[in-house]
Amino acid sequence: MSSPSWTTSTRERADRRGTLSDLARLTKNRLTVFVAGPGSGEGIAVALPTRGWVLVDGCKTREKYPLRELFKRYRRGDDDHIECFVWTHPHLDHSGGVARLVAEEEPRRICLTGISAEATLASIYEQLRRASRLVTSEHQKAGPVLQAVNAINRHLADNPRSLLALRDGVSLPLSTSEVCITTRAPDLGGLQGWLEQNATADDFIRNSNAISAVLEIAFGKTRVVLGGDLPRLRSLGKHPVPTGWNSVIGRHGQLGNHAGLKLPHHGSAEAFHPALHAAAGDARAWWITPFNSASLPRIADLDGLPRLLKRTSAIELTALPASRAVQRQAPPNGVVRLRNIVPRGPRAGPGGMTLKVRAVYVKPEHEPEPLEPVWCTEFDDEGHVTGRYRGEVALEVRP
Amino acid sequence: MVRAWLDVGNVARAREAFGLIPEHFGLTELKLKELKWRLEDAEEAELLAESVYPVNVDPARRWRQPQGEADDVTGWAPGRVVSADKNGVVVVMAEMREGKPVKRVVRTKFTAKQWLALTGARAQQAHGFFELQVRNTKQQVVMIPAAPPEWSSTQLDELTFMDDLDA
Repeated sequence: MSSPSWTTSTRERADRRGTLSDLARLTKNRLTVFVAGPGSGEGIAVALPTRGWVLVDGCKTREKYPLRELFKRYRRGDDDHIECFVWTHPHLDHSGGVARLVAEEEPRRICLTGISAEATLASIYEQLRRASRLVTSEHQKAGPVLQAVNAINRHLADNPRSLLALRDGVSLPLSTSEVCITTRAPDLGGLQGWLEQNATADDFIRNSNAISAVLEIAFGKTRVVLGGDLPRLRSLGKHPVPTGWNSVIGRHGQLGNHAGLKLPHHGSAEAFHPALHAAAGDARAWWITPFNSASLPRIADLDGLPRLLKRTSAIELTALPASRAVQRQAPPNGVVRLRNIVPRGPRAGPGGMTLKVRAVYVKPEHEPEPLEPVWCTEFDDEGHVTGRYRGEVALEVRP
Repeated sequence: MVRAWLDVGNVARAREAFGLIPEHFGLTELKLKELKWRLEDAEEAELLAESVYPVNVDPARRWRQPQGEADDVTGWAPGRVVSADKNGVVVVMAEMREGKPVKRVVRTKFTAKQWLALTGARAQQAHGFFELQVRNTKQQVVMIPAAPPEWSSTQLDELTFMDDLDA
């Protein structure tokens, strides 16, 4: 095991850097955030400073689940539990391994957005059951989500008080007072309006991003924002989503001032909000998970990574939105310049290596190993990043 | 088992189970055809990530020739409407190379004006499966009817979702 290197680079403050294999155990008194995303899913694990975990969504790669692997590897003894599992919204790319996680790790609380979590669960089940059976790809996307619902329902049979409805202002029940995690979206009014306007199965499934949970984590002076898949604008046209970022930032402008941000909706242009993505000091962490089939994050489009990199000095991408063969071309130090990532075609970037990215379906046997598409970031309670560790295919993208 | 794995979206395991069916297991030819149809349809959906043919089109008959009269068709590709409103239509469709579709799906948008020119219909009414055809450099959209497949009129509504916990 090599020792992690230290660097000050252009960042305001030195932070410990290395690969995930350098991180043998969690650092004491730090808030540790793991962001995993192999290219078709997203999961986040938050290790609280002393003990306790909060897991958010889930993803799957090679029939394994990165969050479970992380929890098993970094668990700090038998009394270190999953205190809350948050399912931000019922989309396939946020549901990998949720059924198994709930069945085997038994989180103390399961949290879903909604006016009543039981009603949300029932709605997901009913709406997905009614989803079109004529579109096989849609049917396949519904399967794992319904398994998650089934697993949660079984868990509730034994733990009837373990379900929690999330909406603006609701905090997660944690065993520590050092950290507070509070829901910032959706708001109650927006949620009611959304439910009235999305009564059909297709609408419910397609538009669930709009009720994706947004979480604000506070640890002393440190603020970390987990943006879920919440958009700002509809994908067609420029109309704001009523529950989206305009509304959230209007209520909680403080979210733009953060030490860490899991960018909403895989860094898409529709989720960009100038106040959330405000330019600031370089010592923070911005994470993006890719979503291959939608070519997110956009590499060359001006409203994709280029715009984001005008507002921060680096983006921590868990993997390129590309095949594993391309993902594994990541340079040894994990740093790549944006100009050296080419979206399509044979054009070579000026100098250094060139990664040719093309959105592709990745066959299971070509998927990355569970701990390869992972970024791990440690924070102290003074608002500083104190360590960054990456899995083998994770990259730091710089302008 | 094949059906159960397909129902939970685990296509690889369904293929594995299908491969274990003994030659003289006692399944009728019709049943085997049904399983093969569902399996190939599911494998195609997984490969493409987005279906561009409805389940009722036999996988063995896909990708070969355009729908309807094909004499003067110089290019064609299947697709599906993902979402639509008055501003335009988002579709997924196969890439067309040298006039023929290849098994790679792209997502693209048609403006309401483009959709009207292609179909004669308003954008907000768009739904279902279609085929983009090129005739003498002019493009048009031909809708492909979707219906429950002949081999299963009720089964698809009665799916039960088993657990995938041992995956």
